[in-house]
Amino acid sequence: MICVAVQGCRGGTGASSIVAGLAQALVNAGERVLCIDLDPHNLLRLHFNHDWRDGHGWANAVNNGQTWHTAAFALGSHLHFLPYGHSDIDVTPTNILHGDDWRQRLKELDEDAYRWVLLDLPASSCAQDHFPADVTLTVVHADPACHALLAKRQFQENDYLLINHFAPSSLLQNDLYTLWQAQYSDCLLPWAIHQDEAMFEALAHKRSVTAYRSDCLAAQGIRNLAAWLLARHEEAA
Amino acid sequence: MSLWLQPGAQAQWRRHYRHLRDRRGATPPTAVLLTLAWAVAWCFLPLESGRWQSLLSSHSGGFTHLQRRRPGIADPLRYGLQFLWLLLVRPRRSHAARASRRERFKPLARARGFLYPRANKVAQRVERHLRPALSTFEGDNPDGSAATRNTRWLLILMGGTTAILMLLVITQPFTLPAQALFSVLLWIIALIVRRLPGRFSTLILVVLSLTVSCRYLWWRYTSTLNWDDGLDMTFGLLLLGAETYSWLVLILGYFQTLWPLNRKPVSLPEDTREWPSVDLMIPTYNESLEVVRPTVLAALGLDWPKDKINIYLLDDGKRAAFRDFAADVGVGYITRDDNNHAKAGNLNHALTVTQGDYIAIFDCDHVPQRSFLQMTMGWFLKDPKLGLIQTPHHFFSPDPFERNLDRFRRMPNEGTLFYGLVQDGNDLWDAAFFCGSCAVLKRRAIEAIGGFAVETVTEDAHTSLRLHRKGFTSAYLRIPQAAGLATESVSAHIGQRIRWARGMVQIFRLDNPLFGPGLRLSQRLCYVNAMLHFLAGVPRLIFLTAPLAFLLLHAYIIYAPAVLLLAFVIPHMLHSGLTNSHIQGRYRHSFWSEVYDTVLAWYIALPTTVALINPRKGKFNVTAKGGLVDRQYFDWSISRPYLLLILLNLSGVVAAIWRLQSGPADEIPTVLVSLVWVFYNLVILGGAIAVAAEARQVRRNHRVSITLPGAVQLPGGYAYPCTLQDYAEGGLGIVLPAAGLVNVGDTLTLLLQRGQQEHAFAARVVNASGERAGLELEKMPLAKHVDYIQCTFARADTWSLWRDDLPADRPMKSMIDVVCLGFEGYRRLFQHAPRVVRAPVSWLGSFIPQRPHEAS
Repeated sequence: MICVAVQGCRGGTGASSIVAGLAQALVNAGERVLCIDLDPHNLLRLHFNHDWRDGHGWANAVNNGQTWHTAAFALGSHLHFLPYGHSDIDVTPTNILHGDDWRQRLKELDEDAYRWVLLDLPASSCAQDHFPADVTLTVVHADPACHALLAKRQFQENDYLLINHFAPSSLLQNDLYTLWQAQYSDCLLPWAIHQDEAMFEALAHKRSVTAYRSDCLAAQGIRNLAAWLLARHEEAA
Repeated sequence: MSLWLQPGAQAQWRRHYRHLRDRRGATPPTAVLLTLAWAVAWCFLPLESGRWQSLLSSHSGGFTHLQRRRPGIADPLRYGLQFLWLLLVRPRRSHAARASRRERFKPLARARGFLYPRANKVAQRVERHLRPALSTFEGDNPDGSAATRNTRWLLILMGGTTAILMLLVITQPFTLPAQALFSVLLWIIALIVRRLPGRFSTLILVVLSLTVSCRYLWWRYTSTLNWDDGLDMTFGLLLLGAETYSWLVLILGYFQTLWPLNRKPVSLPEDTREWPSVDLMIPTYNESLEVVRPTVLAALGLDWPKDKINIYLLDDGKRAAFRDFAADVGVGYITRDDNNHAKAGNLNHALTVTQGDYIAIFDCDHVPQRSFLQMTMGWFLKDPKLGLIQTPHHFFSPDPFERNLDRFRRMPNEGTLFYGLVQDGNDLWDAAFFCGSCAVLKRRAIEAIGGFAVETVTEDAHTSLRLHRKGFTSAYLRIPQAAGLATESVSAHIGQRIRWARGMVQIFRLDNPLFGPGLRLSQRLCYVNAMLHFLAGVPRLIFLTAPLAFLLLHAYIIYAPAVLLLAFVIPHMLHSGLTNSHIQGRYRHSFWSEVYDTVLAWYIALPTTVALINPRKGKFNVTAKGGLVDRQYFDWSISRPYLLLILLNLSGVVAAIWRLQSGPADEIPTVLVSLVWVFYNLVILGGAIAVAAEARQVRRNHRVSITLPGAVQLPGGYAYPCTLQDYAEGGLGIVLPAAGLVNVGDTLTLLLQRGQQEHAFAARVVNASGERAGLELEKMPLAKHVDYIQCTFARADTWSLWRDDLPADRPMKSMIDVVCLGFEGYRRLFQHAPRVVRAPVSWLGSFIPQRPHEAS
């Protein structure tokens, strides 16, 4: 079981879309995947055509004293996902993201049930602990705000930077990309997910971009990501 | 008619008649006669039955070609002949059926699979043992340690003994059976040895081929000349001279290509301050700005410190547009008062006004790759004596041979042998020479020899010859680092070769590499071979006409029994063919060079002979490039000499038939051998004629075919991956993942990668069909244009990939291809022939039955 955490460098970078797309891409490659939404915005479910009114999720399950995974949904045989859930009581983010709890919870799962567990983390804040995962992807835009936030960040061994909504015709984005290639050469993934209207349309259709329009450029970027993960863990195995 | 015909039959007749008139366009009398003939056939054959119907239907294929043409009066005869033919031949099989047939030979393949690996193992073991001795040969062990000195003595001793034995083998006269047995044995050895990997097998093959060929020539000199008859003697000596020339070129060729060096690039020092300064010169005279622009822009993108590279446009045309362009993009612009000595003079003048340590030279249509200098300059820093480094000339458009024969990238072209193998072989002997473009020279070296050589029309080879004489070394790096346009038309191509031939022969006369100071024997031989190569014109013409001397004039040019001649000449041809195919197979396919040489033979024969007699005659002619062959046509003036040769050979065939009928019986074998020779000549001449039919070339800007990932961003914000299929200066062709994504007139952004960088280019869709779309680039600022050239023409990897996918040589297949090409030549000749000739022949041809395809 390989745990991949995806986190926006700041809000609105499209991390949830990437999780949904990546899950679908891995499933298309024949893998068994579990997606868990750890973001209180509870948006990941919308990529999986989930009913807007359905408030079930792991957070209210835990609050109500049930086991955490009772609210999981199955999309076909290979893809399962667990929404965050609407909660009447405000739960503080630090509590939710308590890494050790999740490590414990994932251990409860059957080792062979899933090859991949994808975690959709809320956008990072500086103070936050490092979440325990095999791979942590930080989703960034090639813009000055992300550049400023990245400057404060410590990168660890399995941390990677993934540029989303990349527009090569923008001079600024190109310059930042070139700069990051030098500055973060160890952790910047060697391709970017390009700006693509299909990415937004996919959510409007309540689907992941990989399922909505598999031939578009953004989907290709996500497939690259899936292929990279598969290759990386093929080697490890 | 209604009196004696049933109404039903009457309707049938009428229907048949109307069909012939309306559908097939027959004239009334023809239709009447054919209807009658059809009715007569019907009296005897049950044409309405299912079997006849299916045989006659257009699907079965048996009579398709007849049903397609306009009906003629002689059609019953055509149908009759075709019917008889169908009884005799089997339909042509489909590919699938042929493959299943091949399956049956599996046991043979299995036996091969068992034998070859074992033979290979033995060979590898032998080569491992020989490695130390071989590596002294290769120059790996320059130290004079006792061990190597001993090996050297041993080698000299062995060499001496072998030479004596060899002399014995060559000069020993054999009877016919002995000679035949000897040939068969050597041939068996060659067939086994050629399967072994490594250079050891090449060496053995070369030795076998040398033995057989030397033996042949020895026999020819000692026992095939008739000194008593003047006519026999004259023609015999001419042929023997031509054969001696071929033998010499063969042996020098073996020497030259025995051990290609395969030099690798040397890395530059980390600190770019140690990198030398380079002047990049682009001489131009009359080429258009469209041709020159990509070259200059690509040069601007070379990976080299900006303060250490200066780019100069050397414009002998002195055109204002070029001056403005140079100023716009910020490169130097050099002109001079006179145009003396053409390109060499242009470069020499530029040397006086520039200062860089090294001079990189690009013809104005050779687009350099960004890595060019980094790949080449390392060797100058490593070897202080190095005066010149040359890289291959690579072409992204087909040369006229490739275009007219439809062989582009399906077969190695003419240049492949030279740049793939010969230069690499020269390099071992430190004799790689300058080819005028895509090379770097050291300024100090050029100044030491007094500038570029101006005495001949091939200043390049002459300059490097002088460098070698002065003690500078040369290097050849077999990695394409630039690509250019090939010549446009056959006539321009021939013009270029005439210039080369004339220039090389001029050097041969004015500054003969065999004599004069400063060269090693190996260098002399390599240079001499390069020059001899261009003297091939006269010997080739002799080979093309030699059998006629016997058939037409009854001269015994080879004064020996035909069977004995075969016993000597067949092994000679087989061994040299096999060995050359073994050495050159990846760079040249057997027999094709015969066609190429034949096309050039007539045209270089005269200039080289003139240059040989008076080397100072003749001037530099510029090779025209970047033009357009705008319609399909047949170059009659080019092919006139070959038509003459064909007529001569055809008259030889007639004479041969006459001699078979009425000549003495003991001459029949000789006539037959001559006839085979004449037919071979006719096939090769047919190939030469095929080249003269110029295929059409549609675009002005050459589109370079490629497969390259890219992406497009469409107006609505959608983005799709795409595959770049071809590109040119102003436009590109792409394939999108689905049809209908773009429409003509859309503007979009094309994304192309260059290394880690991604560049966006604005483009407009000019045509779209299905998944394919043609884009035209919008006007772009200079920096963008440089990026575009870098993403396309000047990519560091494109050219390198191309050479790998060429199929290796298979001599038998090559031969069949060339024979087919010969027929194709006559077909094209016929197609372009005047109507008076064409009409009767095609009418006669329509009677020839055709083999149908097997119904699938």
